[in-house]
Amino acid sequence: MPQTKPLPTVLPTAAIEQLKSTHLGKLYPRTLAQSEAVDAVFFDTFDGHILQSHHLLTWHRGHLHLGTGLQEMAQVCPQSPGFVADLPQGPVKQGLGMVPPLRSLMAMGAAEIQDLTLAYIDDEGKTQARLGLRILTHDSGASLCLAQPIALRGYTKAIAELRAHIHELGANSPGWPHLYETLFPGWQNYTAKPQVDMAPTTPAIEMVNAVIAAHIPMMRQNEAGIIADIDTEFLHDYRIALRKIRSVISLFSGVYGHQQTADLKSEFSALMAPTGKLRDLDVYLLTRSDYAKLLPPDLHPGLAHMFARFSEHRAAAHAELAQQLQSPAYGAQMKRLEKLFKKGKKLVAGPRSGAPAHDFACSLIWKHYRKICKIAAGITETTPDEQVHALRIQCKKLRYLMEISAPLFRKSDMKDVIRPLKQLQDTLGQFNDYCVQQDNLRAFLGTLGPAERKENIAIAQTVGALIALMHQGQIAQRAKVEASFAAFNSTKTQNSFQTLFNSQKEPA
Amino acid sequence: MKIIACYSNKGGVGKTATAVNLAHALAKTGRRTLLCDLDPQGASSFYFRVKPSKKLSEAAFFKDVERFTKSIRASDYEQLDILPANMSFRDFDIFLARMRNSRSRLKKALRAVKNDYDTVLLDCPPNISTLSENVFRAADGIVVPVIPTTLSQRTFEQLQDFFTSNDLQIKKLHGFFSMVQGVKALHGDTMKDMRKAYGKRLMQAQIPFASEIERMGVHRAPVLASAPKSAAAKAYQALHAELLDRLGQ
Ligand SMILES: Nc1ncnc2c1ncn2[C@@H]1O[C@H](COP(=O)(O)OP(=O)(O)OP(=O)(O)O)[C@@H](O)[C@H]1O
Ligand SMILES: [Mg+2]
Repeated sequence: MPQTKPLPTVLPTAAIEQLKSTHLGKLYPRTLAQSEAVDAVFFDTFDGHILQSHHLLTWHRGHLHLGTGLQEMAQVCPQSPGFVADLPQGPVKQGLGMVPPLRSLMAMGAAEIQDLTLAYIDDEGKTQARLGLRILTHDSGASLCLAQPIALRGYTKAIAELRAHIHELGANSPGWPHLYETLFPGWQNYTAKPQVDMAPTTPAIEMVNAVIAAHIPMMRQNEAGIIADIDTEFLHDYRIALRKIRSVISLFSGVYGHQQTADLKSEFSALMAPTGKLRDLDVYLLTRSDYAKLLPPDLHPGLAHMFARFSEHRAAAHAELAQQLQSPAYGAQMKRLEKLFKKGKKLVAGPRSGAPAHDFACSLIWKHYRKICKIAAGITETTPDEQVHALRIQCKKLRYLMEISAPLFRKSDMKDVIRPLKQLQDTLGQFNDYCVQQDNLRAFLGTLGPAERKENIAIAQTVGALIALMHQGQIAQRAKVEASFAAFNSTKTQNSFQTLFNSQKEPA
Repeated sequence: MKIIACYSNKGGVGKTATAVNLAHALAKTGRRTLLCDLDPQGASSFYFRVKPSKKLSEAAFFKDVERFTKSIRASDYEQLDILPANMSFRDFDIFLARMRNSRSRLKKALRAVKNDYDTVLLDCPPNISTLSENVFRAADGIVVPVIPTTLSQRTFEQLQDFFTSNDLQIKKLHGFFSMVQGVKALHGDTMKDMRKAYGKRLMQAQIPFASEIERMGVHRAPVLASAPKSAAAKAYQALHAELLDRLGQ
């Protein structure tokens, strides 16, 4: 029997008294040990990576503790933890591989921790099984208990009975995924992939409303993190939510009335506009070390100056956006939008509003897929770059369409068509990045100021070199486009698109 | 892995008391320890409150690796497991051979559950003459309690002779004085004589006659757990340390 410890069961704390007084067949419980209570702060990423991997990270008395509830490892950590990379070396840092490097740790809440061990004893006074209990109590009185049966070799029946007993007691408890919610009043679950309920026959307008209604709260949940500048993922997710909203409006055109569509498009575009600069600068700063690797050492001082400027620009862009997000006008606007899509009554319906979601999605996906094939067919080595950009934009639209309407199809079917599309998009995306980078770097050159300043010359040299490198990259990616499309355009993928999205209609 | 046998060809000298307390002391210092209760009466199992296993009395038991590993019981103490009493000598022979052979299925089975032992302690019953030679060969050390009386002196002498005449390594013998009563002049004299006669074969550590050890049957726990500060507990600790030293551990 391999001794991988199963996850502790989440129990209501009321179960403890019951456990202490209930015999387990011929075994009776006895309190073996009880620790003193300590106050600890629970840390996780905003999107709960640690809890999702069934671990808890706590910080108390200058130490970080990481474990699946009861067994834990510990290390010194004098300061409240932020990014894993910045933690002192130690086993907990090593164990935090589940935390994405871009995500900062945040305090989820504080609770008192107390451990209790029960022994289950037979008529000879021999322990046949133990039960580890960890009691977590919040100031508000909210509490829960983690129960971990501990097997003793050779006493298989006792442990089986204990496990069954615990299982029974925990049957109605909310369990691990809801641990923070149970313990910390007002705690809100966050996911970057909000679930949107839709059925194949759902009228298209209801589906579009539901997509938007699910993504506005996602935007809102990220606001505080953007303002507090906790990590760059808040803005990234905020923009993802916003982009989903914008694309569902423009892709499912005809769902709303003409004027309504135009109004919504411009309103959400206006919300997106002030985020672009900050995101671009975030990306630069995050990839700083990549740039250093590209350039010879004598151009590094210029690079350092350039990034110093970027940091300044970023601080300004952040301040601007934070102010905007905190303004009463923005708050009122978001409240209005939230209400508008939750109720849906005030939205003016368009000619396609009643179309069944599945059929509508199929026809749109098929249309965009055909368009991609058509553009791609005309691309050779010598076609102007504009055509490649047009292809990229169509691919992006198709990807959004498929992602938005994914709940209407079988998961595995959707995966099969999204995967090859993703690969094509990688090439096109990189090609585009190189183009955009060159434009941005040229624009940055324009802002440098007087050439008399020594550091401006250094920056200009570095930027010049980078533009040349980006141009090389662009050419290399451009050369891959034809082959990438050929790979996407396999007979298998063609058939998949045909059967999934055009089964009863025109032949391909 | 070391195999240590608590052995004496004389009954009631403290073999079981030694095995129980040594096993506990070994486990306490972090060694994964298996205490094999070879006594059909199950004395050491009794001290650890482990009920004798019915399965173990079945013939050919030790040929079945899975059933063997299944009848091991965890004690209430970390790192210490008990193999309860009741095995036939023939089975025990096979068991010893397999514990010694690192490629045996038994060893592989123990390793597979990360439960191979650092030390295996044997609590031998008196009168295992049919088997004793095999125990002497398999064990890395034979711990022999000696009550300092003339009769015990004779028994220890016989044991030494047996080792010499059977070409067994005499260095494996680790005698020690058991149930020592300081007030008895006879004990003092015998000990002096024996130390002179047997020199290095006798350990320095000795176990006093102590009520804490007598009462182990009431507490049903090792002395180091029930009376950790007692002189008896300290004596077992000293015995444990000296033995490890002599075994080169
Ligand atoms: N140092 C001691 N002081 C007091 N009593 C002791 C001491 N050692 C052993 N005893 C007691 O003496 C009796 C015999 O001891 P023990 O069972 O350990 O001997 P044994 O050699 O294993 O006996 P057997 O040959 O029957 O297996 C037990 O009742 C035990 O409690
Ligand atoms: Mg005995």
